[in-house]
Amino acid sequence: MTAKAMLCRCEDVTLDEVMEALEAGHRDIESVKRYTGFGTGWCQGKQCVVACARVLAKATGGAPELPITPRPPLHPVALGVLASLGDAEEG
Amino acid sequence: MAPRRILPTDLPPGSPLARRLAALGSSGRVTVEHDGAPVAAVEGEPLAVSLLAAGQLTLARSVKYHRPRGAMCLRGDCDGCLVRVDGVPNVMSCQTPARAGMVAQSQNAFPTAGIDVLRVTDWFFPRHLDHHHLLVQFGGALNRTMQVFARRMAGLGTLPDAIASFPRSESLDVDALVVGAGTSGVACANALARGGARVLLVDEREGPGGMRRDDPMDDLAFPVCDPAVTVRYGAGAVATYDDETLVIHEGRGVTVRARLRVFATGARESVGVFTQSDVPGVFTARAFALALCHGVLAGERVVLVGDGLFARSIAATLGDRVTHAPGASVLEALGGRAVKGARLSEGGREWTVKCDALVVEGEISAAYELAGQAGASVLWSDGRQCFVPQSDAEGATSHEGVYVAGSLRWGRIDHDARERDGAAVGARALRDLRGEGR
Amino acid sequence: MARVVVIGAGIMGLATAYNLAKRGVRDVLVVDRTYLCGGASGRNGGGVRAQFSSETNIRLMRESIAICRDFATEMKINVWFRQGGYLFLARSAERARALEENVALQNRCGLPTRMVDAAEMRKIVPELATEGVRAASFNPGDGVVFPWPFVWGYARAAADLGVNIKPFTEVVGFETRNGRITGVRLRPTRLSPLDASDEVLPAGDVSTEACDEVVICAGAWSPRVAELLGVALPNKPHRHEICATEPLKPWLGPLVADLTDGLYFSQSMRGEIVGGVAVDPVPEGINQQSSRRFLTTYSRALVGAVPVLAGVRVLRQWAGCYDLTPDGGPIVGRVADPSNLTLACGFMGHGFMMAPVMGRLIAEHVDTGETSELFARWSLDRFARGDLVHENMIIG
Repeated sequence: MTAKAMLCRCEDVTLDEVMEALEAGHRDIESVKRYTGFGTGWCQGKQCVVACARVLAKATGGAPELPITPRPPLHPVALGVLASLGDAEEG
Repeated sequence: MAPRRILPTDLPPGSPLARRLAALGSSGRVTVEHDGAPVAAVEGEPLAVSLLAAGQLTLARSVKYHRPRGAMCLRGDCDGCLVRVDGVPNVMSCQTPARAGMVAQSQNAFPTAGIDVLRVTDWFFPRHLDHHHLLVQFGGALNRTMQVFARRMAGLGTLPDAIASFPRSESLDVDALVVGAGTSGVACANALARGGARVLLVDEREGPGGMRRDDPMDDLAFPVCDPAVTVRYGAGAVATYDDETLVIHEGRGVTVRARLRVFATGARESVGVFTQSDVPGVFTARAFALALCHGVLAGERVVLVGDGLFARSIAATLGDRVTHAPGASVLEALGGRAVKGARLSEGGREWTVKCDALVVEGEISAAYELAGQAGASVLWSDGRQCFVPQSDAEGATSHEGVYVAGSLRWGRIDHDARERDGAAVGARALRDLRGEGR
Repeated sequence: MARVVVIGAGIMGLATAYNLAKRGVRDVLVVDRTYLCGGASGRNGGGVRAQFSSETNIRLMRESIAICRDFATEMKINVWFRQGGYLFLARSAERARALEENVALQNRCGLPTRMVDAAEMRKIVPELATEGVRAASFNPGDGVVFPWPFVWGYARAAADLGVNIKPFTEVVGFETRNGRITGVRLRPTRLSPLDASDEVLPAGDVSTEACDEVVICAGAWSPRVAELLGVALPNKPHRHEICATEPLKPWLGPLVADLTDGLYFSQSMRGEIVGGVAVDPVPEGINQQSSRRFLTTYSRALVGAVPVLAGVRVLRQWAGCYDLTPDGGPIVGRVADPSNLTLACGFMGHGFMMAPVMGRLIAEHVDTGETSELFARWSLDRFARGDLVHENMIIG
């Protein structure tokens, strides 16, 4: 058995790693995301963004502000489905 | 100690779940295959639930440490239930209805997810593996060799066996798109449709009700959609842009142009972060409840932590078949390949319990992602301890034509409150559609 | 008081600042309007290639690739540089001829690039659909990296040498006297909560940093910054979109690019297919929003090239800005007025891969004041003189 507290399951980012990212000078959520990889895996942050925001807020003494930027798609979508869509008019 | 299927006769007579399971009783029984072994399933139930019923807790392995994983949320919100199905990699088995002859295989593990020799990385780096600095202190050749190995360890699944084909896509044009056919979404769609708007209501589940579908104490008397509402189930909105929204309806792409969009997408649940929170057999209360609604008890020795709606329903349904510690929090889940126990704490006291299923309710966050994609401002809420899309008193966000309703907007409010909110947001959206001032 | 203010903490600015400090230049300040890796340096697909059509680019990239190879052990951070090659596809006789010419030039410059036929293409990428592909060029020395650690590596190394790096700090104006910049006016910023747009808002008071030299390497934002000085740049930002699929076990060796539609795709260290395609029309201006049109255009092109990918899923899409000049060549070097301004922008969507070598050259240029043939060729005033350069191997 190991003693890991898994903050981001999809990318195997432990709580320890997030703390180390903070110590290395990554203080905002986007920078911590890039450095640790949390929120960039299969679930794209659905399970971990809130937890990470809280950890950051506690460590930096501020209130959590913004989540990582929500980007499409919400769930993984097959390339074949996307290829089957009609032409979009420029919005 | 293995999960099993429950019968209506296992439950108190007249319990809502007993009635529900009796209705399910006529569903077809089929056989699926998992890692070469036959598994009895009920046709149409989520494959992950079939696997749970067969006692198969460990389904997958994680990307870096190859830690064992299993179903945790049963809602398509996590990575726990990923298996290769019929030659397709990375299938969320909780989102896949079981069909006769379906073949499921574990992936990213050798020889199987149950026993994966590549877990050595997890043991070798007990605290964590710093991939940024691994072997940089040595010369280029050793560092490059490490990279070759790291690349082989990474990735989930392999290319699909066959070239997939997809049905023709569809294109729809409506006045209002409402995402989520829970209580507030239906109320909102009804208000809009009765006001003469052309409304499309979509929900990724097989029917209406949202979170009520997963509550074993619910009587399933869901509010009815007005016949003027076009409603599609099995239709998940996955991406939204200024000019259109992409919905995947039973595998078919549907692009929807709408003058306004209402997001009634509810909430996401998580078990939270504690030591070994990712071990198979740790479930959100909603997931455990969802399995119950399919007649599957995801453990014989169940420990239930938390006091929310689903925890209370589980406790009411199963009585003393679960050990309920409503006020406790989890310090650590114990177990190597699957959960064997937990260390809990409450009011300064710590103790250890044995269990083969650890069910946790407590981490609920708004499902803000689609509203955020649509341009709503998403900010932290101290009260709800999660990120919430911002809206005015009537549910309109700062982005024109984008609204939020129901528990997404307010958190866990009761059914009547969600219904009222949906109706009110629908009324406001209708006024905006007609160009009426406030 | 800074000796040099570098505007832009992407890889170009940080590589420049690091090399300045290495040359012994003290008091270097790097500022950026947002967080590190917020601009193109954090949004690109990580491709690094020497296959270009101009000798200048080819020779420079040979050096840059050599720097990439040693980066991890020199800067003590893994960058996952993998030399799986670049495979450029040609679908018409004309393009095949152009590729052949480029290959010949690359060979003269010492690269092992070769033309490959359909059978060899399928050996390199067995899943590739080769009908309609006339020919391809392949340089096994080209590769892919994970871009972010370059930024952190340069930032850490620069900071260790005394460089001051300030993210969330925007340039709002300049002070000038007698044709020289005497100070840079700076203001703190924070991320905007609106619209998922990556925009920044003011978050504090303006202060002035006195300085001797200014370098603008702000990528797509360079024209905006230069405009504050009354310097009109001809480069324009264009949104380019990109996406990543679910991670699979390694199966794709090279980065595959098709000049017909600008399609490019490669497999990252994590196993995701990362790629993009040209979308027409492209909105001009700073725009980092994603579109559905891109997903359809890209997926049609990608599934056409590798049919088995139809069942593979997109996990996320994002966008960044290419910094495009009228003739395809960057804008590098000092300008006439103000005389202490150096530009390093307009890299046409391949600035990331050029930064390791350009950082060295720009630092030398700023420090010594000497110009070289390179800086003459890529100077801003070439547009006024009509002395344009040409590069046709642009992808994405």
